[in-house]
Amino acid sequence: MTSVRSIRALAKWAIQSCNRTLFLSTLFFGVINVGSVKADPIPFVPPNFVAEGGKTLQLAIRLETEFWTAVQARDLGQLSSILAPEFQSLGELDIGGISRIQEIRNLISSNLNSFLLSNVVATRKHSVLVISYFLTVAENRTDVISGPALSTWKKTKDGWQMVSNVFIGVGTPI
Amino acid sequence: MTSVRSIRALTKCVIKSCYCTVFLGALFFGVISVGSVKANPAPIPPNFVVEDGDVLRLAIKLETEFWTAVQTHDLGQLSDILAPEFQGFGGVFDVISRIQEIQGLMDSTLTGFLLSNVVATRNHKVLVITYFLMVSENSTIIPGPTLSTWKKTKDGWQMVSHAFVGAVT
Repeated sequence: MTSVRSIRALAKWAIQSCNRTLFLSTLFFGVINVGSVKADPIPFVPPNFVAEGGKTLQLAIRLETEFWTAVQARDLGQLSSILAPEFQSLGELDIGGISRIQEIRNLISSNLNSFLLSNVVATRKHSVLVISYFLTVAENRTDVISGPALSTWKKTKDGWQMVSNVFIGVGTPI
Repeated sequence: MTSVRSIRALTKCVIKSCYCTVFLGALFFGVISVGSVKANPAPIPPNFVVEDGDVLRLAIKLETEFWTAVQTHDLGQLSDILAPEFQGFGGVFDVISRIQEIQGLMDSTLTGFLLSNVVATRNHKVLVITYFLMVSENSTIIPGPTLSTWKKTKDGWQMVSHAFVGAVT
C-alpha cells in the first residue's frame, strides 16, 4: 500500500516537473502571452481578498493584456493613449517616482519577449478600477522577472486610461 | 593657511553631524511629523513635470492626514480615507486588500514620518502622488519611494491605491 502511494507521489511529481519545464520553455519562446486567472494559487494573494469576478475581472485582464501587448510590440501610439496625462509610476528603490514621459521611454526601450499575468484581482467603483496581479515577464530570452504588480485605471470619454502603475520585479536567472 | 582650512572643514563636519543627530532623534521620538517638500532634489528625475501651487499643497495635506491617522491609530479616519475599491502593496511580495491594509496600519507602531520630494499630478478627479517617505517605527527607520492614487468623491478625497517600497535601515 505504501509503495503504491510512493509510486503515485513520484508520478505526480514527474508530471508537475514536466508541466513546469513546458511552461517555462513556452514562456521563453513567446507562446504564452495572455494571462491566466487564478490558475495557480500563488501564496502572495491573501485568502481573504475580496475580488470582483465576471465582467470587471474580464475588463481588468483585457486592459492589462492590451497594455503589456503594447509594451511587447513597442507600440508608442497605443502606449501614449493608454497612459493618462497625470500618470506616475514607481521605479527602483533609489529612483522613486517616474513620470509619464520617462515611463513611455523605458517601456519602448525594453526588450519584453513575453509576459504572463496570473492571480488577477480587480476592484472597481464607478469610473475607477484597481488591478493587482502577479506578473512574469521574459526579457531577451535569458532573464525572467516576476513579482506583484498594482495599477489604477480611470474611465474617460476616450476609454480606460492607466493613471498609476507599480511592478516590483525580482529577476530569476536560468 | 591649510591648517586653518582643515580646522574650518572639521568644525563644519562636527556641526553637520550634530544637526543630523538632532534630526534623527526628533524623527525617532515623533517630534517631526509633517513633511518638507523638495528639500532634497536628488531622487526626482530632471524632466519630471511637477504640478505646483494648489495641487501640491493638496497632495501634501492628503498624505499628511493619512500618515497622521496611521500614527494616531485613528480607525475612523483611515476607514474614511481608504476607498472601497482600495488595493495596496503590503510589502515587496504581496498585494493586500482594504481590510488588510487597515489592519496592518492599525497594528503598526509609527512614531514619526517625513515626506520629501512630493510630486503631484492631477487631472479632474484623479490625483497621483509620489514622494520619498521616511518612517520611524520603534528604533527602526524605513525609507523608500511611495506612490498613491486618490480620487475625489462627494465625501471628499479617497485613496484608491498605495505602494510604499521601504527598505529597513
